[in-house]
Amino acid sequence: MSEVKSSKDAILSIKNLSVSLPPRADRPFAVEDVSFDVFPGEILCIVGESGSGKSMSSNAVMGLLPKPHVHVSSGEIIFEGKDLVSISDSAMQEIRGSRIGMIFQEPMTALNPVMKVRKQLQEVFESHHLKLSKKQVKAKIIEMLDDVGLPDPEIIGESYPFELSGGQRQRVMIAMALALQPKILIADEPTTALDVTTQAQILKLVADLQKTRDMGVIFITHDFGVVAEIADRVIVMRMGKIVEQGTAEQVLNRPEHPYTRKLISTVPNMGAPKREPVTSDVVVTVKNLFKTYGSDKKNWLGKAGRVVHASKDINLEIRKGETLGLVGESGSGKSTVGRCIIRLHDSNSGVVEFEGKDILTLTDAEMMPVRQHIQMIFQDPYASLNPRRKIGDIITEGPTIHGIPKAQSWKKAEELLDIVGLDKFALKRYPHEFSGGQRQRIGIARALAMSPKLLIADEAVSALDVSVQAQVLELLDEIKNKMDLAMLFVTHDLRVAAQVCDNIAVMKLGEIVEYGPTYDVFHNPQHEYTKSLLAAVPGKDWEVPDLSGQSIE
Amino acid sequence: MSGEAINNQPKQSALMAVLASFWFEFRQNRGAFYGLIFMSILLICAFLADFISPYSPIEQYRDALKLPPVWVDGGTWAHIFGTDALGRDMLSRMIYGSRFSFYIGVIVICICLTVGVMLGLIAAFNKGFIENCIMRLMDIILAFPSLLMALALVAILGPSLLNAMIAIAVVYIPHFVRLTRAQALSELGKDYVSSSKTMGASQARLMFINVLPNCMAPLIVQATMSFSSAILDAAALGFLGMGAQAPTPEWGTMLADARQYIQSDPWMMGIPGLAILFTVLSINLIGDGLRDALDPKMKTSKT
Repeated sequence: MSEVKSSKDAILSIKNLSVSLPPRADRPFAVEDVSFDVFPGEILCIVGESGSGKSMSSNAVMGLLPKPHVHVSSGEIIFEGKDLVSISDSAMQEIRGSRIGMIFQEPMTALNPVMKVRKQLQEVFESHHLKLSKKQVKAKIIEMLDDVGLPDPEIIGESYPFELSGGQRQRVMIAMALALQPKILIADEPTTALDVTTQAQILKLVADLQKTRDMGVIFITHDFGVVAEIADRVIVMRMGKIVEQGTAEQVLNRPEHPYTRKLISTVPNMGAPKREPVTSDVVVTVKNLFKTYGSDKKNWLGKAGRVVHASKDINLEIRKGETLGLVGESGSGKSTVGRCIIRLHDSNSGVVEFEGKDILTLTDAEMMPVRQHIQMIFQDPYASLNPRRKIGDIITEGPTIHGIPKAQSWKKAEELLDIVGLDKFALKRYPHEFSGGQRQRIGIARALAMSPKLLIADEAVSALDVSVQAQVLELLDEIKNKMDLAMLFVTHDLRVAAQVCDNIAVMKLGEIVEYGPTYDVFHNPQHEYTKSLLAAVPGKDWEVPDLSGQSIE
Repeated sequence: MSGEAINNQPKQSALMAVLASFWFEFRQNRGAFYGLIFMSILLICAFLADFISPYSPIEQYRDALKLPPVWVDGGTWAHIFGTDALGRDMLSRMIYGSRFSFYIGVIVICICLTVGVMLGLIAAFNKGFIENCIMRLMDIILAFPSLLMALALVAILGPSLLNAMIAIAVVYIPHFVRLTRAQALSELGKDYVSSSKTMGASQARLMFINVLPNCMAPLIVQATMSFSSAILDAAALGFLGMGAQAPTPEWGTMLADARQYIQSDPWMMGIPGLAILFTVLSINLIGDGLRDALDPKMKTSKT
């Protein structure tokens, strides 16, 4: 354990901070009676699920609360001897950017899309009235871009944000935040929108910069893997209150508070268990599946279009009771494969054999009986339920289309809601009355209403908080075993894949680069890409502690 | 029986809650509230025209030609708004005229909504040739100045109130088609539609049960706004002699009849002119209020 530091050494100390919410909100305070210190040269991680108030506390520091509805109602934020709660807006503006820097989750929206990168960095200097000549500013900008590890800083400086990749944009954001050598960097979920390999690079960059500049970093995240990767100290927040704080080692391996224990116990472990190979009947076989987007036909100006190969020569096989994981980064074509199998997209060529019959050549009418047996669970629980229809109508839509009498399908819907852990009164309510996790359960019930044999889960748990995610995964596993389903599990999260999949196919740029039993892929990866993916998983060296037997909330 | 009553209870209260929140949002907007009051008065006039109007709108009182309104020298309480050049009571004509305004608005909007929504949905669901045909046709209609287009159509169909309404409807249809198509396209990208497709839902089912209800909010707002434009255009056509024909007490036609007396008896134009102005204004204010209440995306910031 590191030496005990007193508040005197802290560069930022927050004392009894409360941020009040408008009267009609679900709770009176977004942040309630929160106190913590940030010391130079440390990374402080604030973790919590969505709505825990973790972003609100950092926004209060930056003076970025959506006033007047949300405002600091009591407490102090002491930075360099001044209370940031009571100082004037113009004084705050001076501190913001120059003394405290901030980076955001979505690098595309945080950068001005119609301004070149160099101009935007230049603005930082101009808005803080630094007396620098044009030449000095230019040199400085190039140095900054170089510092955040961007290749060819001169070229990057002359680019517009849309010409850069997500990781490059986030690097530009970091360069901007650090331009004036701030004492503190606040990073609000800066890697959540990025792919795992890019995330690893950005995390390393933040950690390196923090060391060389001796900054204090407040890193807000919901991902315990990220915490394990970079945190020195950890604060766990829930419903606007701090439930636990301590060193990373303490909180991650010996959590005290039951809520922290619950959160950590739901983090999927990286070590994939060895599983018995599945030898039952094959449900679906995919052979040489090709799918391209766009066309290379010349248009009337004689200009050829761009063709993207979303899937190239895909071969898969899923057996009864087997879960096949399809993993890869964004743009790897993993969702496309799932959607081609269920014929939401038309594929260019290839064969999808479902129970021995090629379904890609069937007409719509011939496809109807097959549709009952292949169902899908979608990623976004908010967009996948029709907001204008009652849950009962949503779940019974499929059976109704297939001519099952309303009374019968309604009765089945009640049973299904019971299976997914919801009350039958939910049938008469609308989707907006449910939380994200509950909606995902409804989505699962809808898929099951058709008594499927193959279930395609397209990033089905990616949009959910970690504790809810664990519950939904458990539910999926239970259902799979009970109904002996074949499941295609499309995900970008290797931790989740390790826990639920029997076999894994790793996709890169539309091709399967590695395909085999989960245990083998995780413990003895063959392909370079698989190795780099596995190496990029945040907190991979952290063995999630076994908390069974301890009190969990 | 009692079980059904219990089941209906939360349903009803949920509907009440929705209406209550809608009313709360709507009332926030002062202009919309006053607009609604004005429209309510006008609606009552239109419905009860037979009972509240003092005279018949087409009966000519030869002994009282061009009588000024009561607040001008020479006016009498017998004809509060005065009489026109043929001795017809202006107040009665105004009251009966409100009927025609609503009649025009409702018919035009009904035609626009049914045709526009159908074409918009068809265009959204059939990308490619059909979509191109529909949308280019709409572009062509939009390329003409709307009043000119309506005039040309009436000239072909022959001047009458019904033909004027058809012509106005044709002019407004493209707005509804575009709005429906854009809204439907954004809904089509959502996964609840994909989900229905995986169930094997037919195109009609996707269109009317899944997509259309989610497109209604902006359409309702567009309908209200077009309601006022339709009244305005009908008045313009009437003024040009291409709409309602004499002796129909339509406000635009009344304006046209009064045109030659604008120097000597300005109230004859002033009264129907102001009536059109306030009607259109209040409908637009109501439209703003509806938009705030129904479509949070387009909401203007109040802080």
